[in-house]
Amino acid sequence: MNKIFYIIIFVGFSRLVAQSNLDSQLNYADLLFAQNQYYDAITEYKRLLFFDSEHRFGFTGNYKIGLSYKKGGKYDDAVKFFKLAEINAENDLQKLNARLQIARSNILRGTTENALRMLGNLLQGVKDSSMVKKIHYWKGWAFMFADKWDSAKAEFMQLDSVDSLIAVCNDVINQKYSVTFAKLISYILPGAGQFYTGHYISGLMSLGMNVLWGYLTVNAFLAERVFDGIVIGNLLWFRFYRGNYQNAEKFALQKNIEIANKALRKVQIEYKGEKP
Amino acid sequence: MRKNPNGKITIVYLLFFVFQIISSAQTIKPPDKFFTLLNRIKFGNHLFCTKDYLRAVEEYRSCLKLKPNDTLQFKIGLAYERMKKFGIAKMYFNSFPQENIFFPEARLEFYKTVFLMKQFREFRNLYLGSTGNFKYFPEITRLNYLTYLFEDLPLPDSSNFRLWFNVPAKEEIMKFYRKKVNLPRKSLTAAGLLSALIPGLGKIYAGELGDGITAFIFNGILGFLAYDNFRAGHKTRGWIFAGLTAIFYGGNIYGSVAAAQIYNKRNKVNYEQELSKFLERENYFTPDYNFCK
Repeated sequence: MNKIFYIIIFVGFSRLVAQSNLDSQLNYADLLFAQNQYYDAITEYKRLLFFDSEHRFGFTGNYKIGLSYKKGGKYDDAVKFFKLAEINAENDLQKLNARLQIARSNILRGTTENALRMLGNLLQGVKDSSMVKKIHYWKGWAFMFADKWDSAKAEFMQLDSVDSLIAVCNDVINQKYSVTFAKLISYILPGAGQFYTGHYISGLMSLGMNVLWGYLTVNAFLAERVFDGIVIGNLLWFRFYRGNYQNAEKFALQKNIEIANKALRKVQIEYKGEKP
Repeated sequence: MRKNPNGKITIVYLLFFVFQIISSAQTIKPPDKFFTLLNRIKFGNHLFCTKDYLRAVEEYRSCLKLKPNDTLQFKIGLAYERMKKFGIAKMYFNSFPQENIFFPEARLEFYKTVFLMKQFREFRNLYLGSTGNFKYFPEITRLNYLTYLFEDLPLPDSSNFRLWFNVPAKEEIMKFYRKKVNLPRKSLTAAGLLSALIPGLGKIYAGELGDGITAFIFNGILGFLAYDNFRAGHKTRGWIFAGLTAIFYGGNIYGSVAAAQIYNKRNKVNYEQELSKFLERENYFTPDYNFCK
């Protein structure tokens, strides 16, 4: 009887010590993670997973490795480990968190279409209102990174206490140039689209070139030099006219990208809430 | 009531383990058990086989500090090579200790890294200095032959090539040999001369039909405008168009030579990419070592 008692105690304690070893390893890896030593943290989480023969830390280890890679800007690796975490998840909440992290990594690596598709799918399967809000929140961020500020605003409008993000969206929407308008006014008056986007020298040059080649073309036709007129008109005037409205479109698009990037940089630095 | 004689021992035993658990739970030091030499080697091997080579190298280096190990030493070099850190791998394999049982393999890998760095001339010089009794002489001979497929040098005789590549993929490598012999090329001189004769013809010869026709029409129109303006007595405009014609004519010749160059380069790059993929798949006809079986 005594022998059995000791064997039970020994086996029980051995298991406890083994578990304790894994817990210590997890604590050590967590410490490195907390100290921003992500490379070393990944090594130690991998060690934890390697010695965790019972797969107790399948979710935690992989999830934390994913987070470390994400913090280090290695989004492809992060996604890979978040997927492993999802596979090893023990409950729906863990699974959902892993999926949200995959979506967030996709936002950061610029594959916003993937992120939006994933978040859309998640939204269909979730009933808990706090989770629904969370998904809308990340959808808003995905739309911001996808340069779809109206949609981002619409997502944020469904949430409370994200006024600053709505304000950012409003700012961008108001500051952005209309590409169609820039192109249209350049059709009517060459150089006007460039003026609209603040490229005054380019606008003046465009106007000057169009006036010059237009004058020469018309002059050639009036002097009955039809061939000269056709050649100058086609090769020079129309070339500059087309270049003029294409430039206006390009400048408007460039300006819009600058505005969006500036807003994204600002929001990533200054926004106090959770970021991708 | 009978007293248990072992009761005191049991309590001490219990307290000892409880103390151990509590103390280990409170500490933030990693557990020693996972950092024994054997466990570090196991973990390093796991990292190596999951292609996390950088961490595997670190793990192996820590092991080597505790105890020399020939296999680990070799695997460190191999890890650098697989990380495509060829410069480090080359130095590492070159300074490999002769007493290591993997010395012949390290020598072979040294040759391989020189090859992978595309230092083909250096490779051939090293090969000339090698001896036939080297264990991996057939492998480095094959690599030596392969260097010719990457360079603009006369190819060795096909029968020699066939002889050394007596491997399952022999036919495929011979296909690359024949392809190299018949690699489509366009003469730069011919392209230039053709475009000088008829604008755009050199481009058509270099396979750029659309550009060739455009160059022909453009040069024709500009030439005609120059002629027409001179004929009509508009000398200034005539000279402007004549100048433009000369510029476009020169550009057309230069463009044709460039097009021929691009054509040749594109074929060479495509060929080399295809060959590199094939060689990578065949592990450059060198052993795999099967460390991850």
